Amino acid sequence: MTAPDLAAPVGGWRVWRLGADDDGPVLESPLAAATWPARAALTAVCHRGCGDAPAWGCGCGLYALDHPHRLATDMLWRTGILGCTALWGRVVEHEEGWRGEHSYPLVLFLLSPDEVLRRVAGGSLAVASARRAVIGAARARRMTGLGETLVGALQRRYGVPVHVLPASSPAAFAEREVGALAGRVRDESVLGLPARRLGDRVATARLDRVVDRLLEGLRPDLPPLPA
Amino acid sequence: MYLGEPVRVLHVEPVVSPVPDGDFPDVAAALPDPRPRPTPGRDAAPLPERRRRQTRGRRPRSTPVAGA
Repeated sequence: MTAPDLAAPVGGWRVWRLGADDDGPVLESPLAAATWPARAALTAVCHRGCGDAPAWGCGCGLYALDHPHRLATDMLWRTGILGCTALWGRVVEHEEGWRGEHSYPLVLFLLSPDEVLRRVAGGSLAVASARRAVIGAARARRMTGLGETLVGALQRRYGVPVHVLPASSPAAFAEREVGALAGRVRDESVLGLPARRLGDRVATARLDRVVDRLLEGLRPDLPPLPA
Repeated sequence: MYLGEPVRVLHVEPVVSPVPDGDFPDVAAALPDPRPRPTPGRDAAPLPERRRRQTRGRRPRSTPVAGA
């Protein structure tokens, strides 16, 4: 029996694609056939036969980056869902991110949810069913904005905060001030996790505050942030 | 997604699971309903009668009377 290296999960940035099942929208990997189940951890499996995913010399595992500006802008536009994820279990640390054994989202950002739904309408069968599920939920709750419904549906299913990113934000993550704010969101989403899970409203408000600061920093129409 | 070269392997065991168990963010943890307690009013339920002390066949000890 060995002592763990860390008693808190590793937090990193990644993107998801919108999918759907019978109960509503789900988060899917844009690169592999993997779906994050709601309120349950996703566990990595290696299709090459590695015994313990993620293995050192293999590319298997659940990916996360240390900073959102390392994500390709076109990938963020194509997928439309950015967020911080927790990684735990066996974790391989890389120079610019991590590969983990278990993963669950901590906070999600939708890049224009109406656009995400509109874009997926002509796509695969799974995304078309996601659109149907969201529309059904909107009718049941008598809501008109599909984007708002998608935000609420993801928030209820996964039990994590969901926010909407400003439309012109993907390239702005490369700016130094915005990068620092994104780092604070990642740190707070991990460090405040135990307190939030115990119902500490101060911890929840603290995460909301750093998220608001990030969203303010991504708005080009607002004056620049103080140094 | 390129992550760079691998640096080290970590064994991470979070004290608190990152997966919500249905208690975040809206629903607090469920607690059992409090048990009803008898109130000292006229409508209160009668308290159970106390058992009398059993003396297994022995005669109760007589109380000594001073000065007899």
